[in-house]
Amino acid sequence: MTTTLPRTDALATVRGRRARSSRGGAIGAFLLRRVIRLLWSVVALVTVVFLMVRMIPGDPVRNALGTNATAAIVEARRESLGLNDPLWQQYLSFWKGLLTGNLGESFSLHLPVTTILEQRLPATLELAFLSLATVLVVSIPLGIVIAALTRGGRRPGLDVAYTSVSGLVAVIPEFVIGVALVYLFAVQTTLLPVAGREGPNSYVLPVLALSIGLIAGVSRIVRVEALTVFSQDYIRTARAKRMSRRRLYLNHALPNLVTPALTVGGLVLGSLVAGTVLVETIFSWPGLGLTIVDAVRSKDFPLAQGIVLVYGLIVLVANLLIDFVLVCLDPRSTLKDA
Amino acid sequence: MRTRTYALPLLLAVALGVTACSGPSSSEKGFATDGAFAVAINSDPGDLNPLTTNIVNAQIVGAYSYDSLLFVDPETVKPEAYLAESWTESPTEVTYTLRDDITCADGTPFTAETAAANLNWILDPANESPRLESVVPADATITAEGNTLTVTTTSPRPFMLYDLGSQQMVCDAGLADPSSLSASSNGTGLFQIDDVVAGDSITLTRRDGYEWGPKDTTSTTEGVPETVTIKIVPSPSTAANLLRSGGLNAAVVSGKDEERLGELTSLSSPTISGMIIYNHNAEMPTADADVRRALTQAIDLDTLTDILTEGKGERAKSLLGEEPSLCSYDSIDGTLPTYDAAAAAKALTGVKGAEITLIYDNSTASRSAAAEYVATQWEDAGVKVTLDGGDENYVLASTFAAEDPTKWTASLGLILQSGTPAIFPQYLSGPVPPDGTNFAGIQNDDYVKAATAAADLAGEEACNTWRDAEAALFDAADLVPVSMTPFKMYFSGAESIIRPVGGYLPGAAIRVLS
Amino acid sequence: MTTLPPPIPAAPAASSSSRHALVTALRSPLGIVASLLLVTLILLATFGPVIWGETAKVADLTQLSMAPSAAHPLGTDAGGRDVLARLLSATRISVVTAVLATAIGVTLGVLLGLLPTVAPNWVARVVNSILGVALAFPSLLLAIVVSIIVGVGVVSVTLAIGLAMAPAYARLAQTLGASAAGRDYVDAARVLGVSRFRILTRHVLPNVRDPLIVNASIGAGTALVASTGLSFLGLGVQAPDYDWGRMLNESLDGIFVNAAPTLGLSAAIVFAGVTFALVGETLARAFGLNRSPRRQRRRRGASNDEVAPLHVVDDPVLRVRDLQVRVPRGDGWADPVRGVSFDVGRGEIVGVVGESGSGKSLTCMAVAALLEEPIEVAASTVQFEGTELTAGGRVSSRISSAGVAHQLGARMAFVLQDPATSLNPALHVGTQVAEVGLLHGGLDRKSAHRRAVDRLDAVRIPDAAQRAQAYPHEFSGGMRQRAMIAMGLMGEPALLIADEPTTALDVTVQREVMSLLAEVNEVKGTALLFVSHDIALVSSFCTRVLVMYRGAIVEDLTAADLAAGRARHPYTRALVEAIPHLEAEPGTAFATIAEDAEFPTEPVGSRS
Repeated sequence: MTTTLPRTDALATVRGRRARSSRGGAIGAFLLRRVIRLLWSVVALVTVVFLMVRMIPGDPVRNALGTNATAAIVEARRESLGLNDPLWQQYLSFWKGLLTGNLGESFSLHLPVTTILEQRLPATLELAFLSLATVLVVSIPLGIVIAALTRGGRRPGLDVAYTSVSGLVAVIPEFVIGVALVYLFAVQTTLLPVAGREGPNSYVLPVLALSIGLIAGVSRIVRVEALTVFSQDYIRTARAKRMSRRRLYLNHALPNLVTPALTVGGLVLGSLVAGTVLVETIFSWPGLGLTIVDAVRSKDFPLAQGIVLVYGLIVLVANLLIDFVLVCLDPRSTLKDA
Repeated sequence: MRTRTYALPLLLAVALGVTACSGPSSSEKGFATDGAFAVAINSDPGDLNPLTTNIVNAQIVGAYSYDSLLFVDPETVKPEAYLAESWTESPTEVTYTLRDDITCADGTPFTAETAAANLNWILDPANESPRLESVVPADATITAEGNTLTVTTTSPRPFMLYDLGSQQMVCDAGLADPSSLSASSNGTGLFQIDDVVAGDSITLTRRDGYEWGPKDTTSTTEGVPETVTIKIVPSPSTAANLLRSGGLNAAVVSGKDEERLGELTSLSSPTISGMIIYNHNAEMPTADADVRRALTQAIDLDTLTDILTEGKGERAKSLLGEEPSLCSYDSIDGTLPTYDAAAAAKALTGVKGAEITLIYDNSTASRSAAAEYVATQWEDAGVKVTLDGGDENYVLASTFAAEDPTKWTASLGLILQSGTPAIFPQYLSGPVPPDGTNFAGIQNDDYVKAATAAADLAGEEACNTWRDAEAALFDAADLVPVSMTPFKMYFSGAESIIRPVGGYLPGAAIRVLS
Repeated sequence: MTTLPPPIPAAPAASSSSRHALVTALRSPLGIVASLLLVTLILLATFGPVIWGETAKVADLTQLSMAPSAAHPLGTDAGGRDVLARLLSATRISVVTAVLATAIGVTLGVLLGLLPTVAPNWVARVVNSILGVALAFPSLLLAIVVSIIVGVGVVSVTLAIGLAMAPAYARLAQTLGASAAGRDYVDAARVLGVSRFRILTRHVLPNVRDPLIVNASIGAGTALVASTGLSFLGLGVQAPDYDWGRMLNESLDGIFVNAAPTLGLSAAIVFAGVTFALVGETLARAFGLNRSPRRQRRRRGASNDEVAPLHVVDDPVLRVRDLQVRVPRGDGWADPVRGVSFDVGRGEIVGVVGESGSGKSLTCMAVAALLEEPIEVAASTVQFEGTELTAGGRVSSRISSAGVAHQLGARMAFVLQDPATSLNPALHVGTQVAEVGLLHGGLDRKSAHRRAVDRLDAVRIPDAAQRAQAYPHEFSGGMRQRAMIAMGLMGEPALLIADEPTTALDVTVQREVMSLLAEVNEVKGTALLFVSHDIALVSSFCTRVLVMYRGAIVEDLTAADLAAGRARHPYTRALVEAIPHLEAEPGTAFATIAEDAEFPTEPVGSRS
């Protein structure tokens, strides 16, 4: 009766058999099952990406070679790319390429897709993880503190103020926040750099733009979770031990909030990925987000599918890691019934 | 939303297109020694190999690390010595005599043989270079002897001197391993590529021993920067911000953001920014010249120009941009119908309710507003308009590379312009795809006659004939050039001794101010 | 945009008087604001294009991209059109897109989410794995992909966002469906042969409906923001149609020159998003899903009625006079404990017996100073071993003095009702037990731990040293109660408050725990305050019994008297009579206390 967040699917599917072996063995078995599920998810992801891109109307090869290329050259390129082969054959060679690290060549940039991914992925990852860290580091304590201050109907003014402000901020699109930040800090006052990725200063505004809305949303969730935790019997038991408030929150409440917080973290990752696409545009941040929009609009399908694959993989793997950490942290998880 | 500074010039490498307005500013300030120069381009250029890329931004980057045989001064509009110190020209043969002291950034010499190897590489169909035929004629024979490069063709190719003379040249090592040129350089230019960070920037450093730059620029000329950073900045607002904050020394900014840059110096490189092309396919209502003229008459082209250029541009006068290299004429005057909405509606009563699909470039608010304006005017005149917008590539795919030529009726997104009028006939006449590149299916006998005649002429006579050829197109309203935008490049803390053309700036022209 | 998972509110309460709740919610300040905003939004969406549609089309071609002026409060756009008029006209398409997309997402999501409950297992597994991948896929990318395939424009945006929202709602529906109503009775229904479909519609769906509605209205706000995101990328509504997203996209180009359109559009988007969120919040309150925090009402002064104890003890461990507990209920207060006075002597085992709602648990928690705001505890005195716990007539849960904290922590022990939840699931049992020693016993970590193991052993937990490293969920119910006792035994408890400690245990385990408690009382001399509804248990175990009825003590007698049938208060007598016994004639009904039975609330006379 603790967390009311949706349990990640991982935990829900662990069958409730009491681990005969040590917990380590149970975790190992869980991990194995989870990795297998990941592999299936990857297959599904790859298939969806393959199909999606084949369904796009328009002739990307012509786009790639430009207006001046003769029809013969265009046809030759189509042949060499295997675009005239039957679909199942293309699917197989797609897999083959994937496994050998060959994702084809970008039509608009004329560079191997893997090269482009290698070069641009770090920037997006930096932004995403910095923002994730910021969101978690700020919103978890914030949510807990607000919950502690407003539980049981205390300080209704603070409650209303917090709910309204966070609700408002959570609704503002992050690209609007981004532009506002640029306007305030980089144009009106030239405190921080306007665009680009050089030097620690240039990280401030993009990370803020990504994080602010999420902090508002996540802290709300943390607050709700914290309120639930505070109303639990074991907190009453802890209070009966007459400890300091601080100890109560840190030693007794917080450990029960790690699990929901991590779960939220995993879900936030998906939102962050979407956010990077928008924020990178505003700040000319040289990451994948900037590239995916271009690739999709110019129907550069090798690049588009490569990026979508990478995004999908990141999220899948990150979720796996989070599930794994959750299982290690939550003592009850291996025995939890579905 | 990012702005393409211009759309699809077919042939940009030729440094053409000049304005009669103020020349490049000369500065009284001092120059910086070994300074740093930062300039912006609006999207990642991708593969930087000058022999295979058709992408304008890649050519802009190449201008810092590669030279070409000739340099055309936008002011005088005449070719000047660059890698070649002298040349001869005839309709079927051109020769270039190269300097004998040219060295590559890697120290190896650059000779006429290397130049020939460049052109032959493009000529080889196995290399699938899009510059085959557009730059290097397919029927060319290219040889080198001593310092002289000779190119002979079987059919006459006027302007061949300029086309070949503008090709950025690669050194031997690069020719041996072309894939290495994707993300680094191997050329004779004043700078060489140090580092390429995809999506972010390209950094170049100055090399020593450079003696052959335009306007006598050398490695030791005062004000030449030590490092050049080319930043990729898709948003013009961001570029304007960076110019103001000092993050950039030069960038092309066009549109509302120009208003924030008032105090900076700027150089214009006018380019056609709006053009209506009609589809002449027999199934389209626009196959009929009267329909085309009526549709054109339904639009106030001055207003359309205002919208397209955000009030900052002028009407186009020909297909060549304002003042092209060898010809400068006004081929529109007296051809297109003057604006008269009532007359247009009357003329269109025969095709009332006809369905028109207008393809347009929706990358900026102005372009969308322009398309909406055209649609409104045409609907008021009695036809039914469907707007179909997308980015550059979408426009290209829907018109030029359309698989089904009946899917579009008119286009406000594709722009055909060039410095050499001789490039146009293959696009504005002849067979339709897949047998040719006359994607709009234009059949204008007067144009073909005049164009064929002009191909055998030279100089002033040729230009006049080309003018007449274009006028024939506009009489029949086959296509309508609408607007010219100045596309100013703004400078902060630096200047250029040569006017940029469509964002293209020879690397040797930069001077950093102290 | 925060495309967070829709939050699941606390377990849905039984919707009793739902209409009343809805009205109450609507009349609250939140409800009023939400209704006003919603009405405004609906009016704008319906009549916007009608009123401003023509103005929005007027293109003044001499006024391209002008800054705000009297004629154009937000300026003009690149086509010379009035931005404000366009903004207002665009309300309809922006709102309708968001609402439709949410409808698609919720419907599809619920279908997918609840499908596994009616479909065969393999279908469930396939659906689950698809959902797993879809949930992992960033929703914006999913939306982009759909737009590319279906083409750009209004239809594609709506479809794309709807499809992108569906997995989250599927998962929500699944979780709600699984937890709602408890699976036990669904299993029971299945055993009884009720068809899966019927189970779905009659048992699962109604419990899923309310939280889903709440989340859907919040989701509509998210969908609106998502569609502006897609339009920002150029994949949304296309010319000549326009929505807030497309307008925002275009206005951002010129923000540094004229920021008015961007600000106006951002305000509009936020307005709509907030409206949906507030509507969702109001609905949540109406459905009883979010107990709104009660405002503090003006406190009534402490009642002056003194209640004399029925039995006074010399040198008591615990002395309570005139204890009152007030709980906010509805618009006012309720008094579950109305003037309770009693003593607990050293080494006594005092039982507190009564039916549910008699106030016995609250009394115990109150005297232990464990009740927090908004519950109010008043008393003229509460003394624990001579230490006064009241201040200004009130008992506060905040212990200001360290000395008092130590005293309470070391000398007052607890065994509470629900062993499943009394121990912190995230901490080792040993740690929790040892903590008392750390806090109040002046022990360091190692010694506290050693003592904890020793106490666990003392309460007869086998393998105490190993068990101390275990988590509470690895203990059985009986063991957990014993661990709680061990926790109390870390100090030298003068009083152990046991609130229904064995109610949740089976009879044999019950006996063991009771005997342990007896042992603690005998060996340590700890007084016990033992609460139970089981009068038979109380009379056999305790030395003295307090009978509570409707918040007051109605009788205070020795266990001996009780067992001998010398109870005097009618309620006590009724309780005694209701004890089932083996000597009854087969076929006769046992005596019970009728639900609407009324007993006098005055206590019987005190004894000295």
